[in-house]
Amino acid sequence: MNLAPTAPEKNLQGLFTEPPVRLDPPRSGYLVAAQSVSVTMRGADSKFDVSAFPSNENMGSTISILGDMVSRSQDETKRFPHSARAHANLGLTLASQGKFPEATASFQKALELDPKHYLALLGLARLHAFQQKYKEAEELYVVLGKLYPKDVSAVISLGNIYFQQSNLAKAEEFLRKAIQLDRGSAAAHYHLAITLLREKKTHDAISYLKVAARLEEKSPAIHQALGVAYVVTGNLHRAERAFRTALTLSPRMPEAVHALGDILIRTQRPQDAIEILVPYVDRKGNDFIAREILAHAYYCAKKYRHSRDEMAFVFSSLNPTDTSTALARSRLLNNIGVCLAFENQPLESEKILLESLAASPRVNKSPYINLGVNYLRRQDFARAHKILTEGLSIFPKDATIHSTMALAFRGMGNYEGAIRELEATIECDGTRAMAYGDLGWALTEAAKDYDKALAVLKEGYHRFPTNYLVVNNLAYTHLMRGDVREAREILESFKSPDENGLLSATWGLLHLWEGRVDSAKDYYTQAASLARSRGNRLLAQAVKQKMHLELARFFIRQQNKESAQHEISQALAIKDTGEYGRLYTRDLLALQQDLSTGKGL
Amino acid sequence: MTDREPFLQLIERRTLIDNRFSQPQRIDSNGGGGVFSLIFKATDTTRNCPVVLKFMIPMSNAYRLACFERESQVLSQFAGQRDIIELVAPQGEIVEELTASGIKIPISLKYYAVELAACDVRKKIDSNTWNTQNKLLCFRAMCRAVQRLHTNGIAHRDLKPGNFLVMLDGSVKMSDLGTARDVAGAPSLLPSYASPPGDIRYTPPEMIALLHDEMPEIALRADFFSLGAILFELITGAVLGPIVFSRQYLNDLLTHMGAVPTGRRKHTFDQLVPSIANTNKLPHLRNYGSNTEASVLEQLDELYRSLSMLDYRSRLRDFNRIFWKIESCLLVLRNEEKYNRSRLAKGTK
Repeated sequence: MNLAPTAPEKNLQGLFTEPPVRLDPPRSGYLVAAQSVSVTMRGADSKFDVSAFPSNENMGSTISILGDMVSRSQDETKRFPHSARAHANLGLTLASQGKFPEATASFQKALELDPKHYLALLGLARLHAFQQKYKEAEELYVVLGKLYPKDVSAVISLGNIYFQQSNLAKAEEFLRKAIQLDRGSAAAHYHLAITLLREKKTHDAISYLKVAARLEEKSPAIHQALGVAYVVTGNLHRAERAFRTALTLSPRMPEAVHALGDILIRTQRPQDAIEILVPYVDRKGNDFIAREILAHAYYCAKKYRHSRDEMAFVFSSLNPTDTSTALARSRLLNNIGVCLAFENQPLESEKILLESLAASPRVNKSPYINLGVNYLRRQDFARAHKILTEGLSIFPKDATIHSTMALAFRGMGNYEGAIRELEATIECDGTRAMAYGDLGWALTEAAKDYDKALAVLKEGYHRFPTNYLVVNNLAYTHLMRGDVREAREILESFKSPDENGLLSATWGLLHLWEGRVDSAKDYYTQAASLARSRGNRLLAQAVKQKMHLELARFFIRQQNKESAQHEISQALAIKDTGEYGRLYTRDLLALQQDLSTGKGL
Repeated sequence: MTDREPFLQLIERRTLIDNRFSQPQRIDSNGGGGVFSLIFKATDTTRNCPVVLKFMIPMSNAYRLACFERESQVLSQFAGQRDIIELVAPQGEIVEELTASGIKIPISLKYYAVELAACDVRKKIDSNTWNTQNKLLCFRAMCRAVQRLHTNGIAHRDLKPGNFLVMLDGSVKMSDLGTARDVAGAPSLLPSYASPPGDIRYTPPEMIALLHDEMPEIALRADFFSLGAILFELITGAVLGPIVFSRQYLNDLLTHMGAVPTGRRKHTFDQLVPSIANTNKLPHLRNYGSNTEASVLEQLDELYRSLSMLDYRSRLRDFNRIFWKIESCLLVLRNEEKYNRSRLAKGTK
């Protein structure tokens, strides 16, 4: 038998358990790590730091030291005006300070003095590459390659130039050439692996990264990239090991901390993530990505207050007038609202979720869903319906909003609406087994459309043969049609233990159809106590009511009017059965009327 | 005419200095590259050999004058020892009259004499005439010279290729000890430094953070950093400092260290230095050096990195290990040379 696919309370909880927007995916650990790899790629050609000066009292010291460095290099070029090396070194010094035109002039002067000067050619090529003048850089690297055919770094740099221009095939070709030139070059292996990762040739990338790691054991960047590659393949265990190695080699490497924190959360070890992230953010307080990951770890560890605090810290760092941070602000507010909901502060949660909605109403769908869930928990189905309708007008293809809307309709007793929304859910996202189960239940129990229910559940069973709810509801629908043999086959094929009593109840119904009343009652009793032990009192009451309802139907089939009447009276005496009660009472009253008119007998 | 020119002319007018050094001639048009000194070539009539006279530019500040005097003292302490430039005559003084705006001003010019060199190592790197073996032999001599200083508790504090001279017989010797300091005994010339002594391009982070104000012995470790930078330059031709010390690096360093009072600097720096070392990577020799034998490139890279480690606490400071690493590279190169020669001979036959 089927009572309900999922109790509404559980369903509401379910939406919060997996926050609709956990911590904005593009900022989560491993993706950041992937970005950092590409930064490292650029790093091969970006020795020149151009970050801006912060305005502080030490600025003068920095400038004076940098000025001293330049003046020393300039003195050398004055003393030795014909030294190509002196000019090339001045070029390097100027480039490191972001004085690119002057640096270019110095490198060019060096090349005038000695057109084959390695350092000047290399410096100028790197400067061009850094300034994204790829064509000029490419030409110089080609010259370098011809002048110094055994020099692997020119070939690697050429490969990187093509990588930067997204010409991955050519990048791969040159990086493979670099490996042929020098099989011991960790850089060549590493850069080729990064290119292969970009080309989605993950397994090849891993093998090259392994070689690179063997060649240069102490490079955290290689282990970090290896971790990223493992994440892509779904091997989280190895990814974790690689990130831990990167962290051992470079204890404060932000990308490694982010990625490891993310992995630990994904492998259900939020406490371990907290232990790694807390000392890190203590030292690097302005690493907001780490703080958001820490907030997520706290959330998963059910430390909602701590989670909120971290997110509030990050939120306070965002400029409220900057439109580019609107989505981030909306995401953070949404997550704070989710935490408040878990702390049983529904009104505060609603307030924050409305703020989240206002921050980014057309991009972030999560506040619509969470506000909907907030109202559902407060039994305010009309407001839930209103906010979800708004959400659907902006995100008409969102399966979660549709499924939440189905719950709102169920709460309002509008099963037609619920069926419509569940159908839309499946249409938007066919990977939701629960939607098949829910729709099958609504069609069977509310609409009494067994054929349609069977079609939906059979499709669901075909796609998710091990899903508890789909299996249970399919067997139940078969029983409602009187297909006892099919129901038994399906139930016997399902070996998993009963989760909340639904399966035991369906077994009870099967036994009833087979005429074994006592064992059927035993199954129902077992189902009720299981539901009660899980804290679901409403379900336990509903199971009892359903047992009497089905016994009444059994006695009607047996032409035993008196016993049937007795069971109906007992069923109607049971109160507090929630949503199910409404449906069962409707069935019981109909049955009672049939009995009184003699229609059912 | 630069402001050095009147002094250069005054000295060149002399035919004999202190009845010993004849025919002083400026070493180049500018009288050397020093900011506070003038360099002349002359003949030592006593020993009948060419020497170098180093004059202090008058009116230099007291600190520079003290440095000049200290250099002569340190050189006399190491007189007769290998790998350090030989002091021919300790500090002397000549008095001249400088005419300015028609007024004659008597000035005294302090000097000392050292042996003459063929050129400095910087010039050798420029000319690119040394092979890897020559470079390593030169580096070994440099390390020996630094070891000599350190054994006597003295840090050089301004090690760079330009401060090592290639002598007429091809040997390499340390010079320019003006910034050298007895870190154990002698007091500092200045109560505190506004910037580190020596060439900033060869200076490690702890010296930029002015840690030597509160712990002078840290300068010994700084010398190892400079040795690593010199090795990098010998192999690649590139000066290490500008490549490693980015604007961000200096900003990070000075932002954290700027307001820290003396006495607390080491503690603060020790907390900061691991992140500096993690965020500012030393370049690989392979990325800058094109013509060094692949057989020793990795070993040399490792040696330079161990010496120039940005975290001073993990820097290589064991001369025996340094010499052992140099010797092992030399052995590889010699064997390779021998093998190539025999292969060539067989081919010829």
